[in-house]
Order: sequence, then C-alpha cells, then structure tokens
Amino acid sequence: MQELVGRLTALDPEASESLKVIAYFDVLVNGHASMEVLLRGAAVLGGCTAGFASDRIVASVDAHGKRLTTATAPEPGRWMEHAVPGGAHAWMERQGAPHANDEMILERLAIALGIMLERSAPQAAIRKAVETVIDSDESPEDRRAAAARLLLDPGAEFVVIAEPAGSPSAHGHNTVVVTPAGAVRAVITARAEEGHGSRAGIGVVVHSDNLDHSWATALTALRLTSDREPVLRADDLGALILLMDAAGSRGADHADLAALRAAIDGSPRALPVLEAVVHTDSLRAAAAEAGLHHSTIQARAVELSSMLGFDVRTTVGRTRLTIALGLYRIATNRFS
Amino acid sequence: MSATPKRPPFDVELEAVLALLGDEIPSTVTPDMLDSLRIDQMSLPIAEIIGERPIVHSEQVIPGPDGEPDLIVSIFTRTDHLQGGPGIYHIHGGGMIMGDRHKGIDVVLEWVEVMDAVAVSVEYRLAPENPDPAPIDDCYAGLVWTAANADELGFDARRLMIVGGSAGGGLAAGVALMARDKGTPALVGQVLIYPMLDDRNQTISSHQIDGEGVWDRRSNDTGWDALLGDRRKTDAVSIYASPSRATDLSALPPAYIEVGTSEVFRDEDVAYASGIWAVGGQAELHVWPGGFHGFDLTAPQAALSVIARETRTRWVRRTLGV
Repeated sequence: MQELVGRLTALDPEASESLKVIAYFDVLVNGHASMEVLLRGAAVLGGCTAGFASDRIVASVDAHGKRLTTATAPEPGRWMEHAVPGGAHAWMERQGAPHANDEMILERLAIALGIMLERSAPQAAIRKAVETVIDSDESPEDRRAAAARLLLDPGAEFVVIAEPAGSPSAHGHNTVVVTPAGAVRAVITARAEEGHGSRAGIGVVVHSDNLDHSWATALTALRLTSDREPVLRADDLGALILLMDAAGSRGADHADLAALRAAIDGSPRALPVLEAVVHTDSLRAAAAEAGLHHSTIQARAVELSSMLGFDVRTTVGRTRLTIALGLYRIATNRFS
Repeated sequence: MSATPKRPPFDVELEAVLALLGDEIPSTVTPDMLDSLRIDQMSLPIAEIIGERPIVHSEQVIPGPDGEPDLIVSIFTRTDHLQGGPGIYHIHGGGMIMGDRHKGIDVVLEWVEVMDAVAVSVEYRLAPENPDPAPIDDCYAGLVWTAANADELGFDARRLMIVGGSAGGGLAAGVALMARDKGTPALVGQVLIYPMLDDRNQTISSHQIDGEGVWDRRSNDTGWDALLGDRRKTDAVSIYASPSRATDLSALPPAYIEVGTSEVFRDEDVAYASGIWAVGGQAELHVWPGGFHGFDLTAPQAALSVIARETRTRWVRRTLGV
C-alpha cells in the first residue's frame, strides 16, 4: 500500500520539526523504550551518530540505526552534549554546521534517557523523590507528586532527620544533599520512629506537604549540634531555630560572633567554659561541670565578658552568648 | 453487533515512527485521495535508490497479455554479474491503485547485490482505470516473459522466485496460482510480504484496524472496490484476483509469508499459510509482533524491521540455495 510514503529518514536539516520530535520521543518514553531504541531514534532523526555515557555504560548508535561498539565516551566538548540526570550525558556527532532540529533532538533524547534511567533504578527514583519533596524551591505540585511516589500518607505526620552523610545508612527514604554545611543525609521518617544516628538534627513534625519545612529545621538543628549536644530537636529549640535559619541562609557575621571567634581562637579552654556558663544556672554549677574551681571560673567569666563586650553572668548576657554560640556552630560545623 | 476487541499494541519503536510521520501516512485512503497520493508516492529516481551499490538498471518493453498493451519492466543485475544464478520476479505494492515498479525494490536490490540474482520488476496497469483482470494478467505476462528469457537475462530458469509486498504480495500469490493452473512457468518459491489476499475484508484483524495505523479497513475497501467494482464480494471474483478464495492450495511453490500483528491483513495471511499446510504444502509464516502495514519499509532502522528483513533474506538464500 503506502509503505514508502513516509519512510523514516533524517529530518530536513533546515526546517524545524520540533513538534514531531517531541511527539516521537513522547511515544518512546510512554512505551518504555530501551536505551538503544532511544539512541537509535535520535541517530536516525538527526542523521548522525548519537551516544550516551554514564559512569557505568557508554553506548552509541549510528545514523543507520546500528549499535556501535564504543569503549569510551568522546572527549568532552568534541560534540554537542546534553546532561542527563544522574551525572550522565548524551551527545550527537554532527559533522559540520548544526541542523535546525539538533538541539531539540538532543534535549528530548536526554530527557528520555533520564526518565529511562530513573525507571530502571528504583533507588535512584526514590532518592530523586526525596530530593524533590524536601526542596522548598520545588513547586507544591511537584512536591506533592514526589510524596505520592514515596507513598507517604497525606494524613500522617512525619519528620525529616538531618545526619552527616557518612553516618551509618539510615532506614527509611533518604538522600544525601549538598548543603552549606557539607554533605548531609536527609531521612524522612514517621514521627513514631524517630530513629537516628549519634549526630542528628530532628526537624519539626509536619504533614507530607510540609516536608521541606521539616528538612530546613532539621538541617539547622544539625548545624547547631556539638559534642555536648550531639542530637537536637527543632521542636525543643523554640524560636532559636527561626533566628539561626535566617542567620544560616544569610551568612551571619555579627559583631558578637566575631568577638566569640576571637575569644575561642585565643584560648582552648574558652569554649567549654562558655558552654558550661550557658547550660547551667549558676557559676558554681558551671564550675562543677567544666571541672574548674569556683574562683577560677569566676575569673574566666570576667575575662571572657570583657573580651566579648558583654557580661555573661547576667541573664541578658547569657542570652546573647547562647545566640552567639549558635552562630558559631552554624559558621563552623561541617559534615561529610 | 458485537464490538471488535482492540488490536494488539504497536511495537513502541514503530509507534513512535507513526507519531512522527502521522500526517504523511493517512490511515484511511479514500478514492478522492488517489490523484494526490499517486503523486506523493512516486518513487525516487532509480539511480538514487540504487545508490552506491554495484547494480546496473535497464528497462525493456515486453509483450503484454494477448490483445493488451505492451509492458515495461525494469531489470537489475550486478555490474560483475555471472550467468546462471537465481532470478527474482518482483511485483510492487500500492493497494492495486498506486505505486510503480520501483516501489519497495530496495528489498530486491539487496538480493541482487548479495546473491548475484537477476531481478525483473513489472509495471502492471493499475485500477480503477484498469480493473481486474488487467493487473494480474500483466503480472503473469511479465513472469512468462521473464522465464522465457532466462538465458538472455542471465539466470537459471529453474531458480526463479516470485516476490511482492502488500498488493504486490496478493498479485504474486495470484500469479503463483495461475502458473500452477497453466502449468508454467515453474517457480522455486513465493515471498508474500504482508500480502493483500482477500477482497471480502471480513476477518477480525480487518475490523481491528479502522481509522488508525497504516492501510486501514476502509483503505482496503477503496483498493478492492477499484479492482473489482460490482463483482467484489460475489462469486464472480477469481482466485487469481483474491487468492484467499482458492479452495485448493496444493502444488504451489514453497511460500514465505509474513505480516504484522497490527494490520488488516494479519488474519487472511495466517489463514493462507494454514491453507497451504492443510494440503501438505510448505510455508514459513512470520507474524511480527506490533508491526503495522509496511513497517519494515517505513521504519527500516527499527529493531523489528531489521529482524524481519534478515529473516526474509535468510529464507530466500536457503530456498535459492545460494
């Protein structure tokens, strides 16, 4: 019959066929096409070799649809490339001037490959969904969709726990996020569980559509932890969380923080003494905790107060010190 | 009336091609579209189709059926051809109403190239201007001439195979029946590629492809109506025009029959293979999953197309003994 009417060959190099290219790859994606089929689609449409490289595989298909035996990816910048989620990339080996559809074909190929990879690696898909659901930059719709993919009950309560990325792998849905404080693992868990490692910030309790908020508070809580307080709950920190969150995102450089830094850098014993002062009700108790004589801590308190520019023995001074110590943790804690 | 179950799904790679070429391949061909379709579907210049392959093309005017006009045939041979190899007689497709002798010739050129076959492709008259029996008679006349001129053409008359796709497959099956009944010429095989065999258009698959895919049931009506006119679906239709009507499929050359699961011709083609086996004949049948009509030509790079073509060529090789 009309078998030769629309023989599939390369698209017209001059005419843009964006809609057709999109329709073509949409069908392949909906049909769960394999990597080779996706590459063949791009190669045949473009009339040139198309390839894919990740840390695990390198593959390419020529314009005739034949799979090539490719051992290594071409050097970066040799051909037009497009990133594929997960650290991989796709390329098209166009000789000479680019064609009107090259960009569209390559972009659609990369999107299709990304979806294929996500499907073929459920763990990767879960990590991606966790990333989305805790990211306040994502739209509420996307976060809801991600929560649905994670099968989170919209009526139930959850917390996000922030732990150093290197802590023993947490149970529950989790992913590692690069933060200003280093690599941090975000773990989504039901409120009832609250299992966590030895160093952790535990976010506020939320429903699944507010996990981004719980994550933000968990990360701040983690950044406020110390050897003295290795696990902090955002719910226990009160409005300090709000303050530290603002400081953390603004890159705080308050005069109190600068003075505190100078004091701590000037004396190795300054930090434990100041922490003892903040966490006890009296200098006597602070002395006992820091393992110092009462008169010694009295002298140190006077000395440090003069360095800081406020009297840490007063209630107001202890509040300022608490906040400055928080800023110091935010500024100096690094995780990996 | 009961609803027809949905067709088997298209192969995903093929379906994507349909999405890409959808507006160039109308699922439904109606008579009013014929003029423009015939223009759209003209073959590329033959030199372009041959390309770099070491093949020479020549044309010859040969006698038509008794009392009918002469015919043109195209002849393809390797540039370094050696006498005495196999012969291929090709009948093009196009629903009995479209196409020319270079449509689908690519398939045959591969055999010319790799098997040093001599191929002849016939320009038969098309319906509705030339209704049945003009097309089948032309095709038979071309075969008779080809066989009679085997020595001049440079092939072994004992190794002549007939091949056609779509309407060309139906005509090839009809010509094979006619050659059997007239006692000549002898054929070593018949390659029937998704052949158009049954004017009645009444199988389940013929109902499953309606308004979608390629060559749907209404297109099929258009083709058969043009070929047979008022005789269509009556007892006045010959087995040569509509081979599915043959009640005796014995004494035919070995058949290679292939068809897609998702096209009108699926059931009539499977039935034709069954009919050949039923009387002790030989046939190899391939039903390609997710194939639409003509998929191997429309999407030649698709995995299913590559497999279909390789499988077909292997059978031809085996049957021709090359």
